Amino acid sequence: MAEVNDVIPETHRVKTLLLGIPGWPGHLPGQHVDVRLTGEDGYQAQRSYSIASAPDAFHVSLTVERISDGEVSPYLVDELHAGDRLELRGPIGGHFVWTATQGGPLFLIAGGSGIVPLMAMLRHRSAAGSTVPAVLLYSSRTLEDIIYREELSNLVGKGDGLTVAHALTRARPAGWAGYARRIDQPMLAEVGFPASARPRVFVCGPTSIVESASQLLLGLGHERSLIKTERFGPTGG
Amino acid sequence: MSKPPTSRGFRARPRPEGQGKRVPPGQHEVSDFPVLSAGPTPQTSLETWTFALQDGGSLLAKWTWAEFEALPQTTVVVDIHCVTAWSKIDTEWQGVTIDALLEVAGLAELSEPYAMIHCDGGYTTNLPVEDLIAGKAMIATRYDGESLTPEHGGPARLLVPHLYFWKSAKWARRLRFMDQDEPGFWESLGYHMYGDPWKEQRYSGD
Amino acid sequence: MEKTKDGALPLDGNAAAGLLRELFVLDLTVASLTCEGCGAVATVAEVRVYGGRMGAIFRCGACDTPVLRLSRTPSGFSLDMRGARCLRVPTAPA
Repeated sequence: MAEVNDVIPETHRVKTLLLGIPGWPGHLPGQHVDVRLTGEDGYQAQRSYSIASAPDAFHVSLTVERISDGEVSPYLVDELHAGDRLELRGPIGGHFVWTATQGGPLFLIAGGSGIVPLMAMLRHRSAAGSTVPAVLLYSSRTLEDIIYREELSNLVGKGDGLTVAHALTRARPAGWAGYARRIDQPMLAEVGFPASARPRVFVCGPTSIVESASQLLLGLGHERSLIKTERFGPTGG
Repeated sequence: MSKPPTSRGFRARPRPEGQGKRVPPGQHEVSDFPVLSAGPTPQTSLETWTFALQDGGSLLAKWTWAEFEALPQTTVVVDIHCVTAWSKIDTEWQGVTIDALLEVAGLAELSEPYAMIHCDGGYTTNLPVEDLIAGKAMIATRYDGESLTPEHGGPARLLVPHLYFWKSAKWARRLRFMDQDEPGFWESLGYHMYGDPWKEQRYSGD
Repeated sequence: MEKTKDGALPLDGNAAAGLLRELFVLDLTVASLTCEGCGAVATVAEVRVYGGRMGAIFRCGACDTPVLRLSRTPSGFSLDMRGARCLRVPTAPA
């Protein structure tokens, strides 16, 4: 049972919940929790949410995107406030996990809210003082949809070997210098590590983006065993 | 097990007034049409599509798409109820009733009391024949006036609205009659053999 | 899962990890599974999972054979593994 300590807006559709969880055993970057809501009439709904915070952060945080017509996300984003309790179980998942001890290079590919578990990895990387070379390719619909934009910029500014490239697929501001199309093979080749560098690749986002990116990476010669994927339900990006 | 804690202010979508009697216990009404599948959406071409009636090993009747479209068509407006608790009121479907199929195939009386529907992708579900006849079921090819889309079961699906919607099998290709009831795909995984939403027969043992 | 027209797209074994954990002591998402249909080997976390709220139907990426079918109903779990030839579960972290 978690207590909501604070709710922080990230974008017009996305909020981060800062949680206090008594007895929390700690987690690995990339893991998730299962959140369960129970109505007065006993009706239950359950969804999985990736943990956004690094393992040693003060709060366990979840970043949630409101899916229009969703069952759980509108409640978490629009209704929940500090002081409320949230039933959850976790941490869950031992596969889609990266810790600095695994080494790199680290090639992260995010579609929409797929950025969340990858952000936990990058926050951990920074907190651990790791200089493992890392690239994040992050696809969003518009500039306003980019989650953690400022924090990512600050992480890059540390100069510890992290590069971040953004792709905006629906609309872009005047003078936009980033990518202005969906993720494709030339983009992956340009921005990412070559297959010969044997990067650990993590891809997360909607199923369509994850499967497409995985195929493109295999086409570029990346080893299947070094690519880890996590498919989210439908979202933008 | 103790009652789970209630989440302050959480409820399933509110049900509109007046639909109370049409929504079975434990269900709530939705206005969208959720898609739930046990596997990838098959992409069956109309050129190769056929629908068959089968009895044990013998083929009783078979229709190509053109032949099927030429059969007597029926349009119904019915409520549908998914075991995952959503219900949709007043949905319109068009297709060929099982009664019409049996009649055209010259099967006035079936000796077998049960049937299994077999679908592209391997999905199956079992039903008593009694629940397929007398206007209770059809092979539907159109939803809401349009051709049934693949994600909703097109080219054709079984429609048996008085039972939970997992019985309205998508991508239906073959109806096989049998002597004894056998569990289909979800029934083999703990779901009820019959599935009456008004008795909340969701799981075996209900 | 959330209800939109993309509802037909599968998730993967990562999404079913919570359910698997209710039944198995070890983390099955890092296990490898051999498909009975075609012999392909995959990590459970990477296998496509269908079924939404009704249950977790894991299907081989190469031939779509259901390799694991898992459901939880009020009376307990149902697990059908006829589509899997072998399940190898590591005890040490991957």
